[in-house]
Amino acid sequence: MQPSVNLLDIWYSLTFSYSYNASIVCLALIFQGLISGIIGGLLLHRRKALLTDTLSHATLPGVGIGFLISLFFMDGAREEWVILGGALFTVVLALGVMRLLERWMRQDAALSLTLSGFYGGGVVLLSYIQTIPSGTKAGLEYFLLGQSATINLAETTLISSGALVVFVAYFALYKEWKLLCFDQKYAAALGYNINLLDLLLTILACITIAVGIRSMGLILIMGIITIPALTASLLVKNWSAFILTSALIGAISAHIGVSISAGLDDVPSGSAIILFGMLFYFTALIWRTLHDRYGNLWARHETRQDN
Amino acid sequence: MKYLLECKNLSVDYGLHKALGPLSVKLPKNSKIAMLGPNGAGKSTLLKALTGVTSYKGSLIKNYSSFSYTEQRQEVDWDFPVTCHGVAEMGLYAKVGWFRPLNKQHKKMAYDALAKLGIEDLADRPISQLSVGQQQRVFLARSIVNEEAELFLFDEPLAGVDLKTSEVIYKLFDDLISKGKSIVCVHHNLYDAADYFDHGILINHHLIAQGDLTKVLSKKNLESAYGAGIAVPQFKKRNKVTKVASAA
Repeated sequence: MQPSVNLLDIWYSLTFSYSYNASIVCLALIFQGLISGIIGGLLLHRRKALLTDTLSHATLPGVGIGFLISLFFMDGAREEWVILGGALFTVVLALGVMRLLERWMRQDAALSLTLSGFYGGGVVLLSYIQTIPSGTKAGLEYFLLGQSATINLAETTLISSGALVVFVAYFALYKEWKLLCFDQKYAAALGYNINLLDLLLTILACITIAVGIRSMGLILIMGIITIPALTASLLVKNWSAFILTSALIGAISAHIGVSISAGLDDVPSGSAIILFGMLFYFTALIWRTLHDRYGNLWARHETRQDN
Repeated sequence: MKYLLECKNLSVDYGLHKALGPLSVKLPKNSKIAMLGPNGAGKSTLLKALTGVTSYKGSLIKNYSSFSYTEQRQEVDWDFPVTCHGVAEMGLYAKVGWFRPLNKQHKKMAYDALAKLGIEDLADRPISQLSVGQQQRVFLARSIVNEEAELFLFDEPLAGVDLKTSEVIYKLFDDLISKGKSIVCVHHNLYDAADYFDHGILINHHLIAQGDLTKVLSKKNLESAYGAGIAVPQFKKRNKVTKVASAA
């Protein structure tokens, strides 16, 4: 039996010399890693990391709805933007439902109720789709675990446009994000509209998730959003460096993960990316533990002053 | 005489819970005002109403153009990845406005504010490595960095800080007063209030007493604010405390 590991494919993917299309896909996923790192950093310090999980699971019914729309109203051509548009629609809907539920219950209860409700709905819808005789439904399961190898150019355009929106919003409101995440009360006293900034942050998170589910899978996308940010928070203690590190770790994990997935048949890209992210995290954790116990390992540094 | 601030029947409700008022009070300009009262008396709520974070009923006449607000130290996550300089410059964000980045002059203003509190050497240090006193000084640097503010609102800046830091804060108050600014500060320690402040308001939802601190903190006033049996503070003059500080 042939081994399914192809080291040459992994190397080609890592060096962008596989094929033009594969390189474009790889680049789009690096963008995905970058924006996931940025949004993850913001969400982590805004204490909204769990929101990602609920929102990503809420994309499932949207994927089904988008598929059905393209099947019945668009002559069965599987249009990627319709499916992603459907995902974005149900994510925003879930956000609205959650805001409404929070009036009667605690936030964590609202999160879990929304997650299970939307995910359950999505599973029912997808089971129904499996019964429709149609040749184009293949590939819908990629939205669960992520499969980068089959991403087409239309999808890379969607990922890149989403990334552009997040980049622009992050850099334009650089100091506002920092203030919102550090000190909401002070920001309100300075006259900033906290609800507006929070809404904007959540919309950016929705965009990051909607464009990312195709490559990461909706179950694991929470990982690429939270793990780089957690890793960066162990390594650096300065805001701009923190976000930059988080973005870079996201991008590097995505690059390596996609390449591994290209060489190993049947390994979903999402899982490979998450495993590399976890590897970075535990390396950083060991470094931080040693650093805290034995002082700075590279240079002498002032220690904490207690008085 | 024109007042800094005039409240008439000011009240704040959180749902069915009445957090403050009705309160009517007039505050003088250019003085160090201590806001005293038991827990849950509505001191922080009054500060929130003044900053516009909370909505209120009644009238509030403000005779100042802008204010600066410093909340309690415990309100933020001190593990947040930011340097002391990064916190100090936040005081300028509203002045700079949406979308715009800070320029070199702003960065220098933040550095000068840290220097005023004697922590310029900590400018590049992450806030996670600060002591309690240093944390409080970073917060105060943030509040004074915008020099256009006319009123300075502080929420318990003296809670839990050491003698050295309290000296720095005392000097900072004097400095602000000499520039014609006004200070309103929530304070909990009745025994040293007269050392730091020249005017006091004692509240417990309503105004109980106002004016010179030695008169405000009488047995009758304190009992109506805190309940019977409270020890009335004996007032020492400030210079005694200063001597202890210099001896230490």
